[in-house]
Amino acid sequence: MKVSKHSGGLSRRLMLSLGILGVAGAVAGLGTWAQFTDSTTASNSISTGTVDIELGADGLTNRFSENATLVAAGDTINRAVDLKLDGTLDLSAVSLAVTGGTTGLNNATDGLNLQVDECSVAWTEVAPAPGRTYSCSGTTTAAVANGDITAGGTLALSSLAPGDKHLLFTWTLPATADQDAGTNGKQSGETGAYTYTFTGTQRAATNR
Amino acid sequence: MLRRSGIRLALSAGVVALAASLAGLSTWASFTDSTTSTHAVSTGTVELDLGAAGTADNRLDVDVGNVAPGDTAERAVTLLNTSSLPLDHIDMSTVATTSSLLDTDTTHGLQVVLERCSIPWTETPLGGGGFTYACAGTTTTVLASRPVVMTAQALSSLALGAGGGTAYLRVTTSLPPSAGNAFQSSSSELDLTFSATQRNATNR
Repeated sequence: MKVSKHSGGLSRRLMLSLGILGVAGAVAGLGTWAQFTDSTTASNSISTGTVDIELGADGLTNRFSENATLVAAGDTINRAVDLKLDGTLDLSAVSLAVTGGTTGLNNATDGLNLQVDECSVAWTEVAPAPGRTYSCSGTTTAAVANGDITAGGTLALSSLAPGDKHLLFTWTLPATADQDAGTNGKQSGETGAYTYTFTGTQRAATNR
Repeated sequence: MLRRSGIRLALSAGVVALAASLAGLSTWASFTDSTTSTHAVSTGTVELDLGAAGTADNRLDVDVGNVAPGDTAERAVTLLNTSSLPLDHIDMSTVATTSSLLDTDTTHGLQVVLERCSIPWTETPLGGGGFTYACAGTTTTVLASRPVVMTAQALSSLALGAGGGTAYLRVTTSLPPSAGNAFQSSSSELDLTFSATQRNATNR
Protein backbone atom coordinates (compact mmCIF):
# COMPACT_ATOMS: atom_id res chain seq x y z
CA MET A 1 0.00 0.00 0.00
CA LYS A 2 2.70 2.38 1.00
CA VAL A 3 4.69 1.73 -2.09
CA SER A 4 1.75 2.23 -4.36
CA LYS A 5 0.87 5.64 -2.72
CA HIS A 6 4.43 6.83 -3.16
CA SER A 7 4.59 5.79 -6.75
CA GLY A 8 1.30 7.65 -7.44
CA GLY A 9 2.85 10.85 -6.14
CA LEU A 10 5.93 10.43 -8.32
CA SER A 11 3.95 10.13 -11.49
CA ARG A 12 2.00 13.33 -10.70
CA ARG A 13 5.27 15.15 -10.16
CA LEU A 14 6.66 13.90 -13.43
CA MET A 15 3.66 15.20 -15.35
CA LEU A 16 4.14 18.60 -13.79
CA SER A 17 7.75 18.90 -14.86
CA LEU A 18 6.80 17.85 -18.37
CA GLY A 19 4.31 20.72 -18.42
CA ILE A 20 7.00 23.18 -17.47
CA LEU A 21 9.30 21.88 -20.20
CA GLY A 22 6.53 22.45 -22.72
CA VAL A 23 6.25 26.13 -21.77
CA ALA A 24 10.01 26.56 -21.93
CA GLY A 25 10.00 25.09 -25.42
CA ALA A 26 7.32 27.51 -26.58
CA VAL A 27 9.22 30.50 -25.26
CA ALA A 28 12.37 29.36 -27.07
CA GLY A 29 10.30 29.12 -30.25
CA LEU A 30 9.18 32.72 -29.94
CA GLY A 31 12.78 33.75 -29.59
CA THR A 32 13.66 32.09 -32.93
CA TRP A 33 11.16 34.35 -34.78
CA ALA A 34 13.03 37.33 -33.63
CA GLN A 35 16.26 36.43 -35.45
CA PHE A 36 17.54 38.17 -38.61
CA THR A 37 16.35 36.31 -41.70
CA ASP A 38 16.91 36.40 -45.40
CA SER A 39 15.33 34.59 -48.33
CA THR A 40 15.91 34.27 -52.03
CA THR A 41 13.62 33.05 -54.85
CA ALA A 42 14.19 31.22 -58.09
CA SER A 43 11.45 30.62 -60.64
CA ASN A 44 11.21 27.51 -62.69
CA SER A 45 8.47 26.81 -65.22
CA ILE A 46 7.61 23.38 -66.46
CA SER A 47 5.88 23.02 -69.82
CA THR A 48 4.62 19.74 -71.08
CA GLY A 49 4.93 18.63 -74.68
CA THR A 50 2.15 17.47 -76.95
CA VAL A 51 1.41 14.38 -78.98
CA ASP A 52 -0.71 15.24 -81.99
CA ILE A 53 -0.99 13.12 -85.09
CA GLU A 54 -3.13 14.03 -88.07
CA LEU A 55 -3.57 12.92 -91.65
CA GLY A 56 -2.95 15.22 -94.60
CA ALA A 57 -5.78 17.27 -96.03
CA ASP A 58 -7.92 15.64 -98.69
CA GLY A 59 -6.09 15.95 -102.00
CA LEU A 60 -2.43 15.46 -102.85
CA THR A 61 -1.56 14.61 -99.27
CA ASN A 62 -4.51 12.28 -98.68
CA ARG A 63 -6.11 10.17 -101.39
CA PHE A 64 -8.06 7.93 -99.01
CA SER A 65 -11.29 9.54 -100.15
CA GLU A 66 -10.80 7.84 -103.53
CA ASN A 67 -12.43 4.50 -103.03
CA ALA A 68 -11.43 1.72 -105.37
CA THR A 69 -14.23 0.27 -107.49
CA LEU A 70 -14.56 -2.60 -109.95
CA VAL A 71 -11.37 -4.17 -108.71
CA ALA A 72 -10.39 -7.34 -110.54
CA ALA A 73 -8.17 -10.19 -109.39
CA GLY A 74 -4.53 -9.14 -109.56
CA ASP A 75 -5.31 -5.43 -109.41
CA THR A 76 -3.23 -2.96 -107.41
CA ILE A 77 -4.56 0.12 -105.62
CA ASN A 78 -2.21 2.96 -104.68
CA ARG A 79 -3.17 5.85 -102.42
CA ALA A 80 -0.77 8.30 -100.78
CA VAL A 81 -1.43 9.87 -97.40
CA ASP A 82 0.69 12.13 -95.22
CA LEU A 83 0.93 11.20 -91.56
CA LYS A 84 1.58 14.47 -89.78
CA LEU A 85 3.31 14.25 -86.41
CA ASP A 86 2.19 17.70 -85.31
CA GLY A 87 3.01 17.40 -81.61
CA THR A 88 6.15 18.76 -79.96
CA LEU A 89 7.29 15.48 -78.46
CA ASP A 90 9.12 12.72 -80.26
CA LEU A 91 7.11 9.52 -80.34
CA SER A 92 8.03 6.04 -79.23
CA ALA A 93 5.74 4.40 -81.78
CA VAL A 94 2.96 4.92 -84.28
CA SER A 95 0.67 1.97 -84.73
CA LEU A 96 -1.88 1.22 -87.41
CA ALA A 97 -5.09 -0.71 -86.82
CA VAL A 98 -7.32 -1.75 -89.73
CA THR A 99 -10.91 -2.80 -89.14
CA GLY A 100 -13.86 -3.56 -91.38
CA GLY A 101 -14.10 -5.46 -94.66
CA THR A 102 -15.82 -8.72 -95.48
CA THR A 103 -14.98 -12.35 -94.78
CA GLY A 104 -13.90 -12.91 -98.36
CA LEU A 105 -11.88 -9.73 -98.72
CA ASN A 106 -10.18 -10.34 -95.36
CA ASN A 107 -9.29 -13.94 -96.21
CA ALA A 108 -5.61 -14.59 -95.55
CA THR A 109 -5.04 -16.48 -98.79
CA ASP A 110 -7.21 -14.88 -101.44
CA GLY A 111 -8.23 -11.63 -99.77
CA LEU A 112 -6.72 -8.16 -99.95
CA ASN A 113 -3.12 -7.51 -99.00
CA LEU A 114 -1.77 -4.22 -97.75
CA GLN A 115 1.71 -2.77 -97.84
CA VAL A 116 2.75 0.67 -96.60
CA ASP A 117 5.86 2.45 -97.83
CA GLU A 118 7.36 5.75 -96.81
CA CYS A 119 9.07 8.22 -99.12
CA SER A 120 11.59 10.69 -97.68
CA VAL A 121 9.90 13.42 -99.74
CA ALA A 122 6.31 13.83 -100.92
CA TRP A 123 5.14 11.12 -103.31
CA THR A 124 4.82 12.17 -106.94
CA GLU A 125 1.53 11.27 -108.58
CA VAL A 126 2.30 9.65 -111.92
CA ALA A 127 -1.10 8.58 -113.21
CA PRO A 128 -4.49 9.95 -112.19
CA ALA A 129 -7.31 7.89 -110.68
CA PRO A 130 -8.54 5.37 -111.47
CA GLY A 131 -5.24 3.67 -111.94
CA ARG A 132 -3.31 6.06 -109.74
CA THR A 133 0.41 5.34 -109.52
CA TYR A 134 3.21 7.12 -107.69
CA SER A 135 6.94 7.53 -107.72
CA CYS A 136 9.33 8.59 -104.99
CA SER A 137 12.16 10.93 -105.92
CA GLY A 138 13.77 10.39 -102.52
CA THR A 139 14.36 7.26 -100.53
CA THR A 140 11.69 4.61 -100.10
CA THR A 141 11.48 2.52 -96.96
CA ALA A 142 8.95 -0.15 -95.98
CA ALA A 143 6.69 0.95 -93.13
CA VAL A 144 4.45 -2.13 -93.09
CA ALA A 145 5.51 -5.29 -94.91
CA ASN A 146 3.05 -6.75 -97.40
CA GLY A 147 0.50 -8.86 -95.54
CA ASP A 148 -3.15 -9.36 -94.66
CA ILE A 149 -5.11 -6.14 -94.89
CA THR A 150 -6.29 -6.30 -91.27
CA ALA A 151 -2.87 -7.23 -89.82
CA GLY A 152 -1.94 -3.67 -88.89
CA GLY A 153 0.95 -3.25 -86.46
CA THR A 154 3.66 -0.76 -85.69
CA LEU A 155 4.75 1.49 -88.54
CA ALA A 156 8.47 1.30 -89.19
CA LEU A 157 8.91 5.01 -89.82
CA SER A 158 12.19 6.63 -90.85
CA SER A 159 11.91 8.97 -87.85
CA LEU A 160 9.56 9.45 -84.93
CA ALA A 161 10.40 13.12 -84.54
CA PRO A 162 7.70 15.69 -85.33
CA GLY A 163 7.18 16.26 -89.06
CA ASP A 164 5.28 14.88 -92.05
CA LYS A 165 5.73 11.25 -92.95
CA HIS A 166 4.85 10.58 -96.61
CA LEU A 167 3.13 7.22 -96.77
CA LEU A 168 1.91 5.20 -99.72
CA PHE A 169 -0.71 2.54 -99.15
CA THR A 170 -0.70 -0.26 -101.70
CA TRP A 171 -3.44 -2.85 -101.72
CA THR A 172 -3.44 -5.89 -103.96
CA LEU A 173 -6.11 -8.43 -104.69
CA PRO A 174 -4.32 -11.72 -105.41
CA ALA A 175 -4.71 -13.24 -108.86
CA THR A 176 -6.14 -16.29 -107.05
CA ALA A 177 -9.18 -14.28 -105.87
CA ASP A 178 -12.33 -16.32 -106.28
CA GLN A 179 -15.33 -15.48 -108.43
CA ASP A 180 -17.50 -17.87 -106.41
CA ALA A 181 -17.56 -18.70 -102.74
CA GLY A 182 -14.97 -21.43 -102.21
CA THR A 183 -12.90 -22.47 -99.23
CA ASN A 184 -11.40 -19.02 -99.04
CA GLY A 185 -14.64 -17.09 -99.42
CA LYS A 186 -15.84 -14.98 -102.31
CA GLN A 187 -13.77 -12.02 -103.37
CA SER A 188 -15.83 -10.93 -106.36
CA GLY A 189 -18.70 -8.47 -106.13
CA GLU A 190 -17.76 -7.48 -102.58
CA THR A 191 -17.43 -4.06 -100.99
CA GLY A 192 -15.11 -3.78 -98.03
CA ALA A 193 -15.35 -0.55 -96.03
CA TYR A 194 -12.21 -0.23 -93.94
CA THR A 195 -11.25 2.09 -91.11
CA TYR A 196 -7.59 2.96 -90.61
CA THR A 197 -6.64 4.19 -87.13
CA PHE A 198 -3.19 5.62 -86.52
CA THR A 199 -2.15 5.99 -82.87
CA GLY A 200 0.96 7.83 -81.75
CA THR A 201 2.49 7.36 -78.29
CA GLN A 202 4.99 9.76 -76.69
CA ARG A 203 8.67 8.90 -76.37
CA ALA A 204 9.74 7.05 -73.21
CA ALA A 205 9.77 9.14 -70.04
CA THR A 206 13.18 10.57 -69.19
CA ASN A 207 14.92 13.22 -67.04
CA ARG A 208 14.44 16.81 -68.21
CA MET B 1 4.39 -11.66 -30.64
CA LEU B 2 3.88 -14.00 -33.50
CA ARG B 3 0.51 -12.45 -34.34
CA ARG B 4 1.90 -8.92 -34.28
CA SER B 5 4.64 -9.90 -36.63
CA GLY B 6 2.01 -11.33 -38.91
CA ILE B 7 0.11 -8.04 -38.96
CA ARG B 8 3.26 -6.10 -39.73
CA LEU B 9 4.01 -8.36 -42.66
CA ALA B 10 0.54 -7.88 -44.05
CA LEU B 11 0.88 -4.14 -43.74
CA SER B 12 4.15 -3.97 -45.62
CA ALA B 13 2.73 -6.15 -48.36
CA GLY B 14 -0.12 -3.66 -48.63
CA VAL B 15 2.32 -0.81 -49.06
CA VAL B 16 4.18 -2.65 -51.82
CA ALA B 17 0.93 -3.33 -53.63
CA LEU B 18 -0.04 0.34 -53.47
CA ALA B 19 3.31 1.41 -54.86
CA ALA B 20 3.01 -1.09 -57.70
CA SER B 21 -0.44 0.11 -58.67
CA LEU B 22 0.78 3.71 -58.66
CA ALA B 23 3.57 2.74 -61.04
CA GLY B 24 0.96 1.10 -63.23
CA LEU B 25 -1.09 4.27 -63.31
CA SER B 26 1.84 6.38 -64.35
CA THR B 27 2.61 4.06 -67.31
CA TRP B 28 -0.94 4.51 -68.58
CA ALA B 29 -0.65 8.24 -68.39
CA SER B 30 1.58 8.62 -71.51
CA PHE B 31 0.48 11.22 -74.01
CA THR B 32 -1.12 9.61 -77.03
CA ASP B 33 -3.19 10.74 -80.00
CA SER B 34 -5.11 8.90 -82.69
CA THR B 35 -6.45 9.78 -86.08
CA THR B 36 -8.72 7.79 -88.34
CA SER B 37 -9.48 7.52 -92.01
CA THR B 38 -11.74 5.29 -94.04
CA HIS B 39 -11.32 3.70 -97.45
CA ALA B 40 -13.46 1.24 -99.36
CA VAL B 41 -12.51 -1.38 -101.89
CA SER B 42 -15.20 -2.85 -104.16
CA THR B 43 -14.44 -5.78 -106.37
CA GLY B 44 -16.00 -6.46 -109.75
CA THR B 45 -17.59 -9.62 -111.09
CA VAL B 46 -17.20 -11.94 -114.06
CA GLU B 47 -20.50 -13.61 -114.88
CA LEU B 48 -21.19 -15.66 -118.00
CA ASP B 49 -24.31 -17.75 -118.43
CA LEU B 50 -26.00 -19.78 -121.12
CA GLY B 51 -29.60 -19.27 -122.15
CA ALA B 52 -32.20 -21.48 -120.51
CA ALA B 53 -31.86 -25.08 -121.67
CA GLY B 54 -34.77 -26.39 -123.66
CA THR B 55 -35.62 -23.00 -125.17
CA ALA B 56 -34.54 -21.34 -128.43
CA ASP B 57 -31.79 -19.74 -126.30
CA ASN B 58 -30.12 -23.09 -125.70
CA ARG B 59 -30.57 -26.15 -127.90
CA LEU B 60 -27.26 -27.73 -127.00
CA ASP B 61 -28.99 -30.45 -125.00
CA VAL B 62 -30.84 -31.69 -128.09
CA ASP B 63 -28.89 -34.75 -129.16
CA VAL B 64 -27.94 -35.47 -132.74
CA GLY B 65 -28.65 -38.99 -133.90
CA ASN B 66 -28.28 -41.12 -137.03
CA VAL B 67 -25.61 -38.93 -138.54
CA ALA B 68 -24.23 -39.81 -141.98
CA PRO B 69 -21.02 -38.44 -143.56
CA GLY B 70 -21.74 -34.96 -144.97
CA ASP B 71 -24.48 -34.24 -142.39
CA THR B 72 -24.56 -31.07 -140.34
CA ALA B 73 -26.37 -30.29 -137.09
CA GLU B 74 -27.20 -26.74 -136.03
CA ARG B 75 -27.87 -25.77 -132.44
CA ALA B 76 -28.40 -22.26 -131.13
CA VAL B 77 -27.13 -21.06 -127.78
CA THR B 78 -27.21 -17.61 -126.23
CA LEU B 79 -24.28 -16.35 -124.17
CA LEU B 80 -25.22 -13.83 -121.47
CA ASN B 81 -22.37 -11.72 -120.22
CA THR B 82 -23.46 -9.83 -117.09
CA SER B 83 -19.96 -9.16 -115.75
CA SER B 84 -19.39 -5.83 -114.08
CA LEU B 85 -15.77 -6.07 -115.22
CA PRO B 86 -14.67 -5.82 -118.84
CA LEU B 87 -13.49 -9.15 -120.19
CA ASP B 88 -10.19 -10.00 -121.80
CA HIS B 89 -11.69 -12.87 -123.77
CA ILE B 90 -14.27 -15.62 -123.84
CA ASP B 91 -13.07 -19.04 -124.83
CA MET B 92 -14.56 -22.44 -125.44
CA SER B 93 -13.40 -25.90 -124.46
CA THR B 94 -14.91 -29.19 -125.54
CA VAL B 95 -14.23 -32.54 -123.94
CA ALA B 96 -15.63 -35.87 -124.99
CA THR B 97 -17.13 -37.51 -121.91
CA THR B 98 -17.94 -40.49 -124.14
CA SER B 99 -15.36 -40.81 -126.85
CA SER B 100 -15.22 -42.44 -130.28
CA LEU B 101 -13.64 -41.89 -133.68
CA LEU B 102 -16.12 -39.02 -134.09
CA ASP B 103 -14.04 -36.87 -131.72
CA THR B 104 -10.63 -38.58 -131.85
CA ASP B 105 -10.18 -38.40 -135.62
CA THR B 106 -9.44 -34.74 -136.14
CA THR B 107 -9.42 -34.99 -139.94
CA HIS B 108 -12.45 -37.12 -140.77
CA GLY B 109 -14.24 -36.76 -137.45
CA LEU B 110 -16.61 -34.04 -136.31
CA GLN B 111 -15.83 -30.41 -137.19
CA VAL B 112 -17.43 -27.45 -135.51
CA VAL B 113 -18.00 -23.80 -136.44
CA LEU B 114 -19.54 -21.02 -134.32
CA GLU B 115 -21.29 -18.00 -135.74
CA ARG B 116 -22.96 -15.05 -134.15
CA CYS B 117 -26.10 -13.29 -135.33
CA SER B 118 -26.63 -9.64 -134.39
CA ILE B 119 -30.23 -10.48 -133.45
CA PRO B 120 -31.75 -13.76 -132.23
CA TRP B 121 -31.54 -16.58 -134.76
CA THR B 122 -34.75 -17.50 -136.51
CA GLU B 123 -35.30 -21.12 -135.57
CA THR B 124 -37.01 -23.65 -137.81
CA PRO B 125 -37.64 -27.12 -136.32
CA LEU B 126 -36.77 -30.10 -138.48
CA GLY B 127 -38.79 -33.28 -138.60
CA GLY B 128 -36.23 -35.44 -136.73
CA GLY B 129 -36.10 -33.18 -133.65
CA GLY B 130 -33.28 -31.01 -134.95
CA PHE B 131 -33.30 -27.39 -135.98
CA THR B 132 -32.09 -25.11 -138.68
CA TYR B 133 -31.43 -21.42 -138.25
CA ALA B 134 -31.37 -18.23 -140.26
CA CYS B 135 -30.02 -14.83 -139.30
CA ALA B 136 -32.09 -11.82 -140.32
CA GLY B 137 -29.33 -9.53 -139.07
CA THR B 138 -25.58 -9.71 -139.57
CA THR B 139 -23.66 -12.95 -139.20
CA THR B 140 -20.05 -13.06 -138.02
CA THR B 141 -17.81 -16.04 -137.47
CA VAL B 142 -16.85 -16.49 -133.84
CA LEU B 143 -14.84 -19.68 -134.24
CA ALA B 144 -13.61 -20.92 -137.62
CA SER B 145 -14.20 -24.54 -138.55
CA ARG B 146 -12.00 -26.93 -136.59
CA PRO B 147 -12.04 -30.39 -134.95
CA VAL B 148 -14.70 -30.56 -132.29
CA VAL B 149 -12.48 -31.31 -129.28
CA MET B 150 -10.53 -28.25 -128.14
CA THR B 151 -9.00 -26.61 -125.15
CA ALA B 152 -9.62 -22.91 -124.46
CA GLN B 153 -10.08 -21.69 -128.02
CA ALA B 154 -10.64 -17.93 -127.96
CA LEU B 155 -13.91 -16.83 -129.53
CA SER B 156 -13.81 -13.65 -131.59
CA SER B 157 -16.37 -10.95 -132.31
CA LEU B 158 -17.96 -11.09 -128.89
CA ALA B 159 -18.67 -7.91 -126.94
CA LEU B 160 -16.22 -7.90 -124.02
CA GLY B 161 -17.01 -4.58 -122.35
CA ALA B 162 -18.43 -4.43 -118.85
CA GLY B 163 -21.93 -5.91 -118.96
CA GLY B 164 -21.11 -7.05 -122.52
CA GLY B 165 -24.64 -8.23 -123.04
CA THR B 166 -26.02 -11.03 -125.13
CA ALA B 167 -24.41 -12.98 -127.95
CA TYR B 168 -26.66 -15.16 -130.15
CA LEU B 169 -24.57 -18.10 -131.29
CA ARG B 170 -25.13 -20.97 -133.66
CA VAL B 171 -23.02 -24.08 -133.17
CA THR B 172 -22.79 -26.09 -136.37
CA THR B 173 -21.33 -29.57 -136.11
CA SER B 174 -20.65 -31.56 -139.24
CA LEU B 175 -19.30 -34.98 -140.12
CA PRO B 176 -17.03 -34.59 -143.18
CA PRO B 177 -18.00 -36.58 -146.30
CA SER B 178 -14.59 -38.24 -145.99
CA ALA B 179 -15.67 -40.11 -142.83
CA GLY B 180 -15.46 -43.78 -143.81
CA ASN B 181 -17.18 -46.93 -142.69
CA ALA B 182 -15.12 -47.01 -139.54
CA PHE B 183 -17.41 -44.25 -138.23
CA GLN B 184 -20.57 -46.31 -138.44
CA SER B 185 -22.47 -46.68 -135.17
CA SER B 186 -20.06 -44.38 -133.37
CA SER B 187 -21.25 -42.32 -130.48
CA SER B 188 -19.60 -39.42 -128.69
CA GLU B 189 -20.86 -37.22 -125.92
CA LEU B 190 -19.42 -33.72 -125.82
CA ASP B 191 -19.35 -31.20 -123.02
CA LEU B 192 -18.97 -27.59 -124.13
CA THR B 193 -17.62 -25.06 -121.67
CA PHE B 194 -17.60 -21.32 -122.27
CA SER B 195 -15.21 -19.39 -120.05
CA ALA B 196 -14.99 -15.66 -119.52
CA THR B 197 -11.75 -14.13 -118.30
CA GLN B 198 -11.51 -10.70 -116.70
CA ARG B 199 -9.47 -7.88 -118.19
CA ASN B 200 -5.77 -7.84 -117.30
CA ALA B 201 -4.87 -6.70 -113.81
CA THR B 202 -4.16 -3.00 -113.52
CA ASN B 203 -3.96 -0.13 -111.05
CA ARG B 204 -7.22 1.14 -109.59
